[in-house]
Amino acid sequence: MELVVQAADILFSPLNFILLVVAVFSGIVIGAIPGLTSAVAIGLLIPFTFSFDAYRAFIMLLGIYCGSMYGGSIPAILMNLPGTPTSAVTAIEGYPLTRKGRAGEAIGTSVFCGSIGGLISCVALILLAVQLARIALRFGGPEYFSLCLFAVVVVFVLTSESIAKGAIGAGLGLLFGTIGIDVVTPYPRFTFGVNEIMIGVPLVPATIGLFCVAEGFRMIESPGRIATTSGAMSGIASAARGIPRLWPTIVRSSIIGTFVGILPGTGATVGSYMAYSAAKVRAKASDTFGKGEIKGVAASETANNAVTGGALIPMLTLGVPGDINTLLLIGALFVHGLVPGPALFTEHLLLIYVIFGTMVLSNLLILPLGLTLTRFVARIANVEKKYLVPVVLVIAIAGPAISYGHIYYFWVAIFFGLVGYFCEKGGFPPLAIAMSLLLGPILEYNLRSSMMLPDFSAWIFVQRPISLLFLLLTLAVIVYAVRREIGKHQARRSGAPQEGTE
Amino acid sequence: MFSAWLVCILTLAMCTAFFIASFSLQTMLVADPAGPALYPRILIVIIGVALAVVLLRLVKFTDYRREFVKIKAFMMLGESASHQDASLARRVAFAMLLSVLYPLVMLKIGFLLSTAVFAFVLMQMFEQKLWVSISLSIGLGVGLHYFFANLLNVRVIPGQWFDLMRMLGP
Repeated sequence: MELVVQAADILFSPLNFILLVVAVFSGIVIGAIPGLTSAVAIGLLIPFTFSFDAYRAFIMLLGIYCGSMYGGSIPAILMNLPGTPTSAVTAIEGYPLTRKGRAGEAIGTSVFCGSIGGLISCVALILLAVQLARIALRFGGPEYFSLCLFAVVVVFVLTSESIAKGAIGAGLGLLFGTIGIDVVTPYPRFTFGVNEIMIGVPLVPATIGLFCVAEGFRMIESPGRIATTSGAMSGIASAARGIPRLWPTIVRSSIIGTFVGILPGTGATVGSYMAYSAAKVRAKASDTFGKGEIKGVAASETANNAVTGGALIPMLTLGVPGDINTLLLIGALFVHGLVPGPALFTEHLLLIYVIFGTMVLSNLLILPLGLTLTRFVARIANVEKKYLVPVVLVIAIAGPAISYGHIYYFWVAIFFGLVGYFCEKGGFPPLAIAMSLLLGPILEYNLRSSMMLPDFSAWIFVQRPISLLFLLLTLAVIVYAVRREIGKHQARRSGAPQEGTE
Repeated sequence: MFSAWLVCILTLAMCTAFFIASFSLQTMLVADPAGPALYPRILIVIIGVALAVVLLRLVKFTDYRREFVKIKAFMMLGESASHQDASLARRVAFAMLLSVLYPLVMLKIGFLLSTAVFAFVLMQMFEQKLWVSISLSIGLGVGLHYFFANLLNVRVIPGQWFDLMRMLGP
């Protein structure tokens, strides 16, 4: 109880609270700018939080994370231009509503549902995270190996259309993770005589390069100003009257979003799509899905924000990120000398409570900020890419690298920017590379340390129940992937359009 | 298709180099039966199998004529040289080249100037007005330098030939 009070003291201290409000507002603005995502914003902000204490750093980063999930819906609804990939589904129903003159109702619904979805996932986060951390205390080498294997396989299966390309992406990340000092015996490995590489591939510059630098290059391919709409936006607040009718949709979408967030590598895009599909399946005759249906907006935006709490659960308890944003947040933990996992709940419980409180407050703040400032955000989100691209590229390259004070880190950010750009274009999932880069050393260490146990036999991985569970789940995902591949191959042979990469 | 080919070829080269290098790794601990080489070799085999599948598909489905036309257009040859896709691809390639040169230039002239020059050239690539490019790039360079060097007390990389901040004094 004392820690809860201390956490509240930290959160409600004037400077921290103002920072949180600014962070949520900044997240909304960043999410509203097409081409910028929460991952880019978090990646660019991490280096600037190096000198902050961990509490303040996470208050800012989580504020941006939650704010940007709502922000993407603004251009999606008003201009049919999703601010973030996660809002693509919102545009399907939101933009037709704008054309019918119901933009205010759509935006208002998005604000309320996003806030409620986020809050419900926070409840799940608070209830499940502590319990899961207790279970994780029982994890040994075999359990961590199986968990990391499951996470890597889920990511590459779900983020790539092709199992082979996903395997290459994941394999590349795992192989990059072997560079540097061996995880068990402290000798150099794959350094090819270059002394700087002995420290390995640093996670923060590499992941920021993969997502932010690569995004900078992608933004160059689509420069120009986005057309604005002068559609009326009245009635945002009065959308609250329609929320009680939407409760079944909101609750269902919150559960879907939270669950999807817990799964490694899936993210809000999958969550919002699944929630939208579930709402559509349950459509009544009077519903107008595809032509502007408010339930569609409610479903996608609720799930969108519900993913935030869910994704933090495996990140905090097991060190396995739920999506790109939490992968970057793990980098932020490392920067502050913290290691995600059950130890965080025993040695840094105050930080955990601050994180819980920040998530709740951020989702609550979306309501007043979204209701009052959306018109203003819609205008400033109209920034031209020719101003944005140079700033994003410079900060993405210099930001994560300069704090280390050595030119090697600049090369890492640029190299992985190139890797991220070409892999994305070629159909190889950058998220699988990043996830494998993070989990690879843990996977290898736990595999080899398990093999060093007395009387080791390979059966140890199946004799221990938690390890067996993860291995069975891994097998199930692989079977799903193979069936999906076979289905696609059969569709190709029967004359459906073949898979293209560019 | 070009990106897929590029990634496959470079991955193949990387796997080959790592596989050969794995033979120089020795097991240092008797208690570590796997040693440092086993895990990377397993990865290389898995990547190799996946690469074989992807390369077979690429060989079968690549429209070589179309790719050749795209490459010609990118290199400003042929009729489609002025096509928007080729023009944007050249812009991206130029930005990549600038990014690679950025750290090299930074070693010579320091962080502040190299960052300002990098931002300036990028903005000029977007045909930004000259005064806007100059003011924004100087602002960005000075702003980042001040933030990292003064607020975060980070060691900002000095230039070997020339360093503006050293010239301006402490």
